[in-house]
Amino acid sequence: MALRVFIACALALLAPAAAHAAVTSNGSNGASISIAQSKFTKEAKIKVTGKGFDETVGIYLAYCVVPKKGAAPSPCGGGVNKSGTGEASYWISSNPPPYGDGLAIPFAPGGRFSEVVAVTRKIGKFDCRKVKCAITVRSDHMHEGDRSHDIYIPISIK
Amino acid sequence: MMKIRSLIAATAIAISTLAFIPQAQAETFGWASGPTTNLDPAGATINGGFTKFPTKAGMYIQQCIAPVGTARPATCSDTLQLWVTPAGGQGTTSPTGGIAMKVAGSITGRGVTVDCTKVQCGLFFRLDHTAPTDFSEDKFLPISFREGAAAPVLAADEITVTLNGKTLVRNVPSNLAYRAEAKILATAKSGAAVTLTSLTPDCSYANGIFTALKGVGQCALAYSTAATASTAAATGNFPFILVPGVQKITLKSLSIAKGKTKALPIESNFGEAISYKSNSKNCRVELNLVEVKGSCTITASAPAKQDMWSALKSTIKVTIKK
Repeated sequence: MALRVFIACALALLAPAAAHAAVTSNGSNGASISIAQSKFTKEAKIKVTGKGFDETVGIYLAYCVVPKKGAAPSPCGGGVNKSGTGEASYWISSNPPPYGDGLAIPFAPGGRFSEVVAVTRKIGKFDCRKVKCAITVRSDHMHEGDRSHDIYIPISIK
Repeated sequence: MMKIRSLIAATAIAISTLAFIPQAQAETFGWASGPTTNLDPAGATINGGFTKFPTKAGMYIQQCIAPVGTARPATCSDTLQLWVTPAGGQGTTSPTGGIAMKVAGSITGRGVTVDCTKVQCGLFFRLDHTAPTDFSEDKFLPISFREGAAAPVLAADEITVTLNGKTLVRNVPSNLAYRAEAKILATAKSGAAVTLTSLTPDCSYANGIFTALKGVGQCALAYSTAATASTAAATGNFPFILVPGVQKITLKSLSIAKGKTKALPIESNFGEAISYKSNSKNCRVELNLVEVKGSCTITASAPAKQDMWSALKSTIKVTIKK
């Protein structure tokens, strides 16, 4: 009985979160990304978790304008993240070229990652209240043009 | 025109005499190259190519001393070698197209220096590390050097590379599990810095750790040192056969007060969702929560992922905290 009460209490605590339903988007290669909510009334920072990624293929995680079908997501918040700092975009790779050492973030075992991405109303001159923006994953520049790793979670912001 | 015809004829004769073709119960590959005699002892390049390449594995070409009997050569150069494979990858040479094999009048291998102007040396062909026990393609092609000054003979360096304290053997594959802890330590007897790199994308090397990113396939860890005033440069690689990773749960045992509830880990070390089942009525399990009335065991399980890791099946011992 105590266990049922415990679970019921736990579920009750989680209930308010249902108003901001967690969103998961699956890629074509068994990978997926998840965020706690996709609708925002103001600019925010959101934790993005990924799992099931092919650890031999590096990726970029970023908040971007949704492009035309078949094109790479662009432009993205913050542009190219050369310094490896900030919350606009992340280069996640377990086998980067030598210049990527210390810059790319390695996958956790199981092809996982967890990073905080900034959701903003504007990406450059693009207004995400008027154009479609999304949390995006794409293969890195070592696999340029390979769209099979693209994953999007559309974001709504007021 | 006459000169051109003579040149073509001479070249054809030269190439034809250096080509060898498969014979019964011998190698199946074919190789043709330019001259392999009267080479410059200070360093020369033999330009050749495969006319037929084995399908079962890649090949190594090394400058070695002549083998004795059916044994493989006792000494092969640490640096004058090629890894030829259609699989491609960093540090490999394609079997299609021209192949430039560098040779020298003096070679050093595994601490032994050989003067090839006085001892019979040649190119030794063999299947690569993906067929470690298959000697069917072993072939020695003699080469010779003209008189002259060989490059300064430098002593061979001795490179020792260990994985978790165990010494690796060059060109002999070791098993490596997905995401297994693999600490690499490399030292050169000369004191020269040893550079290590992963030759294949399925493994990474950083900060002394070699990591398999897949649970099937092959990887290779390459080492290299620069020549010093007294020792020759050294290169080589250690092949690895990748095997599925061992999925684990961090919890082995649990001690909680009677009637209390405890949360168990949700995911395995590889992020797979863990399901729990109580093996007695003393414990009740719902999702990842356990309620205890008495001592019991709980079975934790998580699915395997093909070509990556094996399934988890682990028993957790639960005792009552007094």
